[in-house]
Amino acid sequence: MNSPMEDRLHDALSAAAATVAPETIRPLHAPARRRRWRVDVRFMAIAVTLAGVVAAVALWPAERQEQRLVLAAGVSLTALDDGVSDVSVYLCKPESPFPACKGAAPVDRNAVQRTLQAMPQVEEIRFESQEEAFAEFRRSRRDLAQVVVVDDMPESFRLRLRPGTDWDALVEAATEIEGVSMVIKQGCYALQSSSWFRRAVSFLSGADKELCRAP
Amino acid sequence: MAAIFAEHHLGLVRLALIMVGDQATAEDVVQEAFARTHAGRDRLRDPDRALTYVRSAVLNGCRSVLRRRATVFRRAVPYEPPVWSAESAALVGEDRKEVLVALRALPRRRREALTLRYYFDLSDQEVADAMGISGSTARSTIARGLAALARALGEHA
Repeated sequence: MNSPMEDRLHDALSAAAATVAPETIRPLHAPARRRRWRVDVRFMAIAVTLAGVVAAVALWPAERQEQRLVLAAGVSLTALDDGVSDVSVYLCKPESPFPACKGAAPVDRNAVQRTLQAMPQVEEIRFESQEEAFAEFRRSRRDLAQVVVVDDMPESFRLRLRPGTDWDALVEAATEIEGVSMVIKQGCYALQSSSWFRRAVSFLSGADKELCRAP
Repeated sequence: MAAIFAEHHLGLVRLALIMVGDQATAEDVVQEAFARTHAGRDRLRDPDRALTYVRSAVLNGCRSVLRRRATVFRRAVPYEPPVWSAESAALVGEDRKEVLVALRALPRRRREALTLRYYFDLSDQEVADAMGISGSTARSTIARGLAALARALGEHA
């Protein structure tokens, strides 16, 4: 039924196509997150962000601690979705690149915790140590974890908030607490997925006033 | 949409490969198409047409690549993508290579129509949908493309 020309064409196209072996194809990366894809896409979004970062990080000299700290902060966001927290409050640490931490006194963790606990929106508060953050980092991104050390990781408080209370007010108030480097609302970062790191850098350089905008 | 891509990823990369000639670019094209359709998936009214939509997106991406190349290489040596190179000739075979080179020399529309028909075995209407042309145009484009190809190869269609 087919003419010889058709057969030749079919054969040539199939052969050319067959030069692409399935196992050699790079997997696709999803660019953004939507609610109904919640879990899957978030993980993909994180992978995209970090994959973009990994090459750059590998090239950074060790003394570029600032970037490592940003990276550490960024990656620790991957632990954001622990299924419990609504807001993460990151603490300043020595040499922290965040503007809120510049020239700040050493962090009084207990004072921060007391202040947070006193806020009416807070239902539950959990402390995440550098070690926990690093363990999570290593679990989610073994490759990147080679660039960062435990001491780069930020400490944070993970908050669960009461439904129906003013969460934005809490985020604003928590940002003002001395010793807090940044406050990230669950989901805010995922919306920025691939551009998140660039935003973080631009934020740290003072070009951007806000790291996390409302969707 | 993500599922469509996952399921047809290989086929789409291969389609792009036939169009652009090298795997890395082909993968980029598919990735870009994926990213773009992903962002706009809420606008996709008819899920049954998702595959058509995705094919169109990949074809569009290939066109952009080829257009960019044409601009860049206009005054330089003609670009020879790896698939058509001597190195992969062994892989694909001399006769096949001849066919591919002739295919590549065809105008864009014919090249696309023939690829969709003879690689994906699409119907006239499916080819038309993917290319955004009418069914009868697709039919005549395929016929003319085939004839031109046969002429170029000194064969009777």
